[in-house]
Amino acid sequence: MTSDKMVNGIGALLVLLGILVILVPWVVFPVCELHDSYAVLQSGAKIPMTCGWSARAETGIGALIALAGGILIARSTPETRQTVGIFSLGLGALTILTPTYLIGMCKMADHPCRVLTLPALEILGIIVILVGGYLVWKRE
Amino acid sequence: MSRSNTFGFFRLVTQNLANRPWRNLAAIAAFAIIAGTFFSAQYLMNGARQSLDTGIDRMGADIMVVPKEYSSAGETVLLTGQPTSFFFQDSGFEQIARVPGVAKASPEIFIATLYGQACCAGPVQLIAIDPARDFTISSWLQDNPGVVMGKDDIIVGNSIAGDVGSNLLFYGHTFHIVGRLGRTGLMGVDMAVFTRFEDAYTMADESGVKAARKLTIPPGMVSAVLVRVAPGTAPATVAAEITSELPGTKAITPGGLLSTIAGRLGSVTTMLYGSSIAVTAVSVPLLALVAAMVAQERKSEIAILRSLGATRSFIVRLMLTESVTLAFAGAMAGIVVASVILLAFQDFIALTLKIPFMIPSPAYILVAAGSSLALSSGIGGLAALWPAIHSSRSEPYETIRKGAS
Amino acid sequence: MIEATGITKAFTTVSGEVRAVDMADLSAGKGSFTLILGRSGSGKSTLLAMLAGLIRPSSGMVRIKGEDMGTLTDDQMAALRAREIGFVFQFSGLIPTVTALENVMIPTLFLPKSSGTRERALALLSRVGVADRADAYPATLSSGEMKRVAIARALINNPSILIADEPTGDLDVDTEAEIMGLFRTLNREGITIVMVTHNPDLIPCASHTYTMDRGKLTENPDALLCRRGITGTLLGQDLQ
Repeated sequence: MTSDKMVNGIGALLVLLGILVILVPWVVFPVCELHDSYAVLQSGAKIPMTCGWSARAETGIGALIALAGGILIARSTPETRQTVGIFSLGLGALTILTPTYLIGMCKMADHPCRVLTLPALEILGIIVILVGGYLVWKRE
Repeated sequence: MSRSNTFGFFRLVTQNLANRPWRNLAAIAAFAIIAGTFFSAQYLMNGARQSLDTGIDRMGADIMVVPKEYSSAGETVLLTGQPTSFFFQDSGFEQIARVPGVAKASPEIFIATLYGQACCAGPVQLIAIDPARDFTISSWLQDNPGVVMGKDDIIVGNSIAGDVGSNLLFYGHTFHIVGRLGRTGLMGVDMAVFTRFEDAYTMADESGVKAARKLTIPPGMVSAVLVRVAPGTAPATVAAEITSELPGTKAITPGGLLSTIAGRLGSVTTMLYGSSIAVTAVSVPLLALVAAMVAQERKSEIAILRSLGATRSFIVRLMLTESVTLAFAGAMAGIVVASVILLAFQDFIALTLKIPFMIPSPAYILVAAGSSLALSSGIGGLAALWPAIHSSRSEPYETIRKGAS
Repeated sequence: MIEATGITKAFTTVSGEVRAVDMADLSAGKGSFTLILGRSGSGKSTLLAMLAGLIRPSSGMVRIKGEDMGTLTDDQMAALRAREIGFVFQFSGLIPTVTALENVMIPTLFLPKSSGTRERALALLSRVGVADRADAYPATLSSGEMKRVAIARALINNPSILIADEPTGDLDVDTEAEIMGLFRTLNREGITIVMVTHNPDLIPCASHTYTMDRGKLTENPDALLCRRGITGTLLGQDLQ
């Protein structure tokens, strides 16, 4: 049986991962708009580039991951663990799919969003998936 | 259901290790750093070398002849893809083709340009080739028979954004992507766009009207001559012959490029190998001290085992196995973490270090991982050896009596 | 089974040589139950250690089943201990990192692989009355339970000799009686037992008793009382 201490630890880890998913595109490895790179419309207006939209989406995903961790800490029953695990699997997949397929990043190979932000999010996504998988596997 | 279904030597080892989690975590961290840095250094060196080999192989050239004053620009183009434009005052192309040992010579024109998305412009090296004499793209075209390079058709390197069939704009001239090369890790190929001589001249002629900046390509001049040497001929020999016949030129060879890369990588690999050595030098005595402390704490337990019938070699084997197990676990963790970071951030590493880079072959990765594991395990065994031997020699009953009182 | 002839153990201290055991003779035949009585510090534990081959005598000879221990290397003595001798320590001596069942199985690591080890270990734990604590770690066991596990461990390799150093030292009266009952049963089954104690009330039909005093070992003639079926204590001697 997974001990309560361990489950609380996993919950705290999910909260941390969620915070990191939020912070990575804005603070740790900022996307292009924080390097003052915007897409310029014909009218002259500046809008965020693809990576900016991915970053905004990741903010929401990160918040959900942190929430899942919080729920696990607050209420640790086998059913909660399994549900949080399943949702973590999905959220981890979203963390990876958002900047790769769903929204994407800049196409230029040497942009910071592609060389730094994207791999960092991929790593975080994989860790969230692994944590989710562990929770689903260790139901009791 | 008893958890002791299979009790053996290794269960004793793992249970002993599980009993001191924090101290063992520290040891694992030390071994992770040793193995991780050692593995990373090998990974980087080999990745750079492999990329260079692949890229040069893709180019099909044994030597690249450039004007002497632009030799570093020529290397930079190849290694980093940082675009440049330069021309031979006197290209000497015909002379180069006649040098003994030269099997083929292909002239190329380098044009630095930008290409843009709506947001931003990135550097791209436009390389104009003579299709009749080229052997860089022609071999790729041979492998892809459905692709024909016609008017305004371009073949792009792997890192250029844009799907096959779409258009790119350079100096106001529209080009059509008909093919994409495979990744080499060599930026000079991956960030290049190949076009024909005549299309490049047309682009230059029209640039005065269509582009923000006029492009001038002096007629009859080229930027570089790629040379393929005859089989059995050493590139270095031919290179020396070329530079002696054309004194204003520099002949860049793969060996020369490798030295350049080694120089650039040198500081990084020195730091990595240095870290590995430094951590080892500090860790071995520390780990030996910890092993001695643990042996001292376990004197009673060891005495009990001896009293129950354990031989001295059993005790030594037990303690060495514990230490090597820790080392192995730490090394695995270090290698996995290093691999994840190197894999995920390989583009960043290549761009920052300005080196060509591609993922080493699985065989090489296994060798690098294996040697790092062996190094860590060896250190683990070495650190625990003396404490293990010393513990096995203590008289069992004295220790038990002292432990009992 | 066990024969000690003139064994001495001397230690060098700041105040000179100290003989923990001085010219001791002991004979424990097959199937005998030998009790060695003495105060704390009389040298009886050191004597026991020499009989078990845990320390080498400074002089004299110890034979186990006819084999002179002095001719054996440390590893050969360890192998002999694993095969022939079950040792119960003064404190239980359980390894804290493994379960009670695994503690019982530890001595089997020192002999060539044999099958059915786990079943034998469970059977022994059942015999000593702690089968339900098989998966417990020593830290969660009571003194009595630990002692029982230690006895089971001493028996796992089917030894011909059981050597016990104060096996009931820190136990309550009821548990002590149970443990001693177990020893008597084992002795009746043919195991040679040599036991050390400072409690004279534990002479319930030991076949031989000795007294240890300041390193000197003397056979106790009152043991004859036991052989005649009379239970008794050492007369006129206060050993508390």
